[in-house]
Amino acid sequence: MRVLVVEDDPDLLLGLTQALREEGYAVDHASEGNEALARAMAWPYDAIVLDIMLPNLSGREILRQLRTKQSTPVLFLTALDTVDDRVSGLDLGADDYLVKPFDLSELLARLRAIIRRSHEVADPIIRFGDLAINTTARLVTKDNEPIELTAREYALVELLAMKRGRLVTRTFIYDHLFDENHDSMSNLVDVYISRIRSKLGKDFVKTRRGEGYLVGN
Amino acid sequence: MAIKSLRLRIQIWHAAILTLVIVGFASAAYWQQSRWRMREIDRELSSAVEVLSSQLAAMPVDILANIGSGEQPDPTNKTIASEIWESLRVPDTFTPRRIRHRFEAPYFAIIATDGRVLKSSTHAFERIPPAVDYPPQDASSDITYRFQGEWREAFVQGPADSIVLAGRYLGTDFRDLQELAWILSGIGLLLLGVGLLGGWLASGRAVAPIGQIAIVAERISASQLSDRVNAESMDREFAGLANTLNQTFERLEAAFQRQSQFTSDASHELRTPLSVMNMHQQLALSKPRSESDYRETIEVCQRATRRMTDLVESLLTLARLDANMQPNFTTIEITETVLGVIEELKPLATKRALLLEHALEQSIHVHGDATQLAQVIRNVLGNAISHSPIGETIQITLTADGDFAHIHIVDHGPGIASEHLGKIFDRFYRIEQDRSRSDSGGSGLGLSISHSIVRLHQGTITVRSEPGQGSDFEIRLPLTKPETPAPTIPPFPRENGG
Repeated sequence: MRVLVVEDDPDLLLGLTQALREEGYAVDHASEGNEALARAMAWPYDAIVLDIMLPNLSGREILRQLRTKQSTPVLFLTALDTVDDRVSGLDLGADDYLVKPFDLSELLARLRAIIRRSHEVADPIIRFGDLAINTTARLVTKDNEPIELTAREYALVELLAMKRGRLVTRTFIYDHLFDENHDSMSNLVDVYISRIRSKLGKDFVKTRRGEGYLVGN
Repeated sequence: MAIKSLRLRIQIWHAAILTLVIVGFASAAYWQQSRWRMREIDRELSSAVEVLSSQLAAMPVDILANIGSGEQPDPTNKTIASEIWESLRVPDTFTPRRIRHRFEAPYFAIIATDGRVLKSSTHAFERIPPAVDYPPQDASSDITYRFQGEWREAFVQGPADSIVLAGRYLGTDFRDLQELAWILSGIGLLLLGVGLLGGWLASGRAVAPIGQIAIVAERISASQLSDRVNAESMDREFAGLANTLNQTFERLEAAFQRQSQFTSDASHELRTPLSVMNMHQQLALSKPRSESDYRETIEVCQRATRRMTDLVESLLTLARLDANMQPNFTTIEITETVLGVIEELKPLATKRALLLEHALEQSIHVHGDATQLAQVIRNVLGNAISHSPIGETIQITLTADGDFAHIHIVDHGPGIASEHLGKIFDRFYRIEQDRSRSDSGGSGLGLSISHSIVRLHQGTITVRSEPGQGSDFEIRLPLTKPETPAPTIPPFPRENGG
């Protein structure tokens, strides 16, 4: 899952980025309004964590403009705590609203929730036969036995599971698994696919030659 | 005990005045009527007495002689003279109406000087009291009147030393007057009743707007400050009150909004560093970290702590300034203060390759707190330094003219757009909407604090700015005159040049 974090306080931005990366997210960041809007418009992020009070362009304005083009899940993370602020934020099209200072675990849970919702997944545990992908614990089990996965491997499994039943291209996987700091390595996706196949079983991911990958039916 | 109800008090006054007027009017009417009636009676009596006197004077000489000797003419001796004597009586017009008893009829008497009654109307004897004080001793040629119990009498010195007297019962007149009194009392009570009822209703209508205002005022203070008393439908007297109240509410609402804005700004300013600390601490604790990671976390927390400390200090400074405390006002040489701040900030300017040019007039004294004034200069100069492009020059001048010291701090930075000029001294106002302290630093309270300090010193701080040209901050402080204490100048209106 690739997320965009927009926050003008450098210390907070640093912390958020680090925390989300440790959770297996690919993280892009912006500390100023115009840059944030450009990024949000350019990439189909899985979610955006958006501050409201930003230099040059406010978070509200970014969201307003974004909603004319994209339905990316957006979570407002702001110090504006009045009911009016929260109501107007949500009514602008935000998917969630969290007031600073916040609890890291709550932010992560809310982020997971809005991403699930955007993929129309209600149950945090996604099942494929004997495989169970627990998106809350970020744990994959096979016949109730946990399978050891790296953060990125898990992220790939989760991404494919969320997109179950739909064809997923290699570019899509690449875009959603790695942030902009990664140099493009075309075979990186294939490497990760083969790794999860060896850990979860060959049948988990089907390959459509020249088109992409498919999980489920 | 004082009566607290305005309406009741109005009513009581109304009742008192109304009663006074009605009683006064009725009394006057009654008094006038009785006086008029008495004059009428006296006129009748006097005409009766005069008629009798003239009749008596026209008597034949022998009768007059008899009167003089005190003898009555023999009634059996029917002479012409005695006939005339017998026919002696008061005119018919003298008889009043509504006589209930015989003795109420008017009477007359002709009395000799020795007190013997020579002739009288018959019933007169029945009521003439013992002769002790009768006849009147003081009869003269003028008609004299007197009261005899319920009777009114007039008498005069008649011919041949006789006394001619006519009397009239007053009972019937008293009865008339009593009736009048009853009628007047009745009308008076009726008027009073109608007047009081009308007054009560009218005063109720008059005080109704006060109730209305009170209801609205209560609602306003209880919940929404944006509500207003509807002054347009009110009378002029109450509209004034309502307008005054509305203005008060407006000021209250503005103050309330400023206060709540201030609180929300202050809490917002605290939220970001708190979030930073919270974030990094949770991150550090989420799994085992390297020593350098922990060090970094602690450094981040330290920065956040410093920011919060600065903010809290600024808030405390503002609170103290708001309390208008004048802690250490002494005569200070402002030149030294300005120079001190310039020296202090020089390293900061050098870091950005800025040149601080200064031209300071010597020995300029103002009355104030050196630490606070230094803070003003530091805030303004600090802003100029952080907003100036690298390599620019900042000019600082200090001059004195007449009553004021003028400090100008002129930078060649980006300047301030006119829409911000009016607000830059507001608390937490930032020209950039970012509230980021990454480059400009400060809590957003610096200029506001400066403004408060300068106002406490009875000076002014103003700014002239042109976007792209830079800004010119002027701090104006009243000079200390030797021997004379600093004048008390009323709080000045905020000025913003440009």
